Amino acid sequence: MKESDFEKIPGVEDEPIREAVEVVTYTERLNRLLEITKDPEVRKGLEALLRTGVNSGISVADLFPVVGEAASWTADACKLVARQFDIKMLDSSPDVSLNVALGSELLELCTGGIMPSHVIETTLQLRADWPRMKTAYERIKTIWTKRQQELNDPEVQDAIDTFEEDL
Amino acid sequence: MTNRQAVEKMLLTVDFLTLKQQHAMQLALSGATDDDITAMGAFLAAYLRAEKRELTAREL
Repeated sequence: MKESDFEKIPGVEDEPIREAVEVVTYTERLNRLLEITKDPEVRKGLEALLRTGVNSGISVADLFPVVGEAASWTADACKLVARQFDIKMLDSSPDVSLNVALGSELLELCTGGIMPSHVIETTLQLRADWPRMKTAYERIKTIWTKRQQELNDPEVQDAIDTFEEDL
Repeated sequence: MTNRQAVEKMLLTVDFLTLKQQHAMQLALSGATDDDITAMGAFLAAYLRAEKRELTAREL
């Protein structure tokens, strides 16, 4: 930002204002980042994004016989353990029932391991996760632009403009 | 909007004051002269304009 961008105010030095603004906006940006990381909707969205990544990876691996089966069956075994012992983070598709997950593996058995059955779970989970990711994105956008919206409030602008004419 | 109302609004908008400090400043305003209010208003308006520019520049 150039020096000339700041108003000349009688009795008020430009430099302290610029420095104060820099320090405060820096702190404010950090606070916004903290607020984003603490927001429950954002956390849900990030978990959904991570799950989508994991499920996509397993689905891609599932394209290859043997290796794919191992990954897909491991995911299903983890799902079984997660449901049994209530360890949510082990389940990569919490919105897909165990019956659907295990049933999709039957299709794989019928096709001799050619069909990437984990795609079914990935798709069903993605349908549940997509709205969470969208909500998280909207929350991040809202939190990030909150201060700017406060400053763009017409009443605040009127208050600022009250002193423009005096300068 | 009068100068006093404008200063009160800007005091509530700046983010370098805590809620307690904002209330203290509002109380101090009741005994302030017109010159004090003009000086404070000029400072707060300059600060908020600078902050708006800073935020806009960084968001871009």
